[in-house]
Amino acid sequence: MSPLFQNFLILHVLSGLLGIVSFAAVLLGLMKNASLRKLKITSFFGLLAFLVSWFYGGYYYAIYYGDKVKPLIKAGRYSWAHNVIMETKEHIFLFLPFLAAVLFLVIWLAGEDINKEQKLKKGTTALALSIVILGIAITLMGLAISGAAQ
Amino acid sequence: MSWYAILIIIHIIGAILGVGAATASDITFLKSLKKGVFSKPGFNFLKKMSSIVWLGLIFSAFSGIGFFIFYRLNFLGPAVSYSPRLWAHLTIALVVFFNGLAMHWKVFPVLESFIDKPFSLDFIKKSKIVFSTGAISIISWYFTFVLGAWHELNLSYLGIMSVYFLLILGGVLIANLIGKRIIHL
Repeated sequence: MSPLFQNFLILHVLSGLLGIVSFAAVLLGLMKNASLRKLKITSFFGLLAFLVSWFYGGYYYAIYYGDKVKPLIKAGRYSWAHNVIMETKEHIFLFLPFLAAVLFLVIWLAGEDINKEQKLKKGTTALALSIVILGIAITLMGLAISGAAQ
Repeated sequence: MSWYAILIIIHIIGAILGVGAATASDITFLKSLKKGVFSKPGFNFLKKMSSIVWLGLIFSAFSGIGFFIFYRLNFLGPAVSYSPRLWAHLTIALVVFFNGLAMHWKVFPVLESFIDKPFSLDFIKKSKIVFSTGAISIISWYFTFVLGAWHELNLSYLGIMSVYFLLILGGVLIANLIGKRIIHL
């Protein structure tokens, strides 16, 4: 693998993880009535991280994975790692940046209402938790797919 | 220094912070139980330790994922990446994470509401979640710590997780029994 694609893969994984950590911080912040400033900053960085992860992952997948990695996985004992897990991942990952964008916009537009209105608070907390759980699931899928390549 | 060595160092730092802070938190909490009252400095200490636990988890998460990237870039394949011990380690790390969220959501508000108040029947009613999450935290941190170090372990994923869940079950029961006994004394 060329250094370009190695770096793209590393950036894809690390920025995705940064996105999950950021939205975990948003989730904790919502639970603890953190300042609006903290919520705004962490949700912004989380969204940015997911967008960066999408870009690098997309480029790697389109230009390198299909030709070089997919045949290796499909030829091995763990072909389901591509046939099932990658096929699932490449569709459901799309929820992440859009859910992240929704939460980011709600936090920036709703302002202090987030800590005052209980229904809004519950909704944003549930959304943040969904983003974290989905992000973790996507990460585990990525580990399973990468692990099958030899 | 190789990238692998750097990842190991960061991962060990994460483990030290997580295991250490979780241990200090549990000892502080037990001392408060024996005194019969939960003080403001005690609560603030728990909050600080909680931040250190999260920091340890972040270090462990990034370096842990770093190991998987290392295995992938070196094409070590399923023999390494699909190791039952590794996936059990990962599963328990997730338990630590979600248990931590539960502690912040449910336990810290309970403890905060009982600052400088003697432990009453009201606290005993709410104490199950406090003792249970504390037990899950400390058992999970130590179990995953041992799992990470025990490279020669040759058990299936289900075997490892069965041992873990038995320890959790026992730990939660014992924590609740001992905790309520201390309060009543």
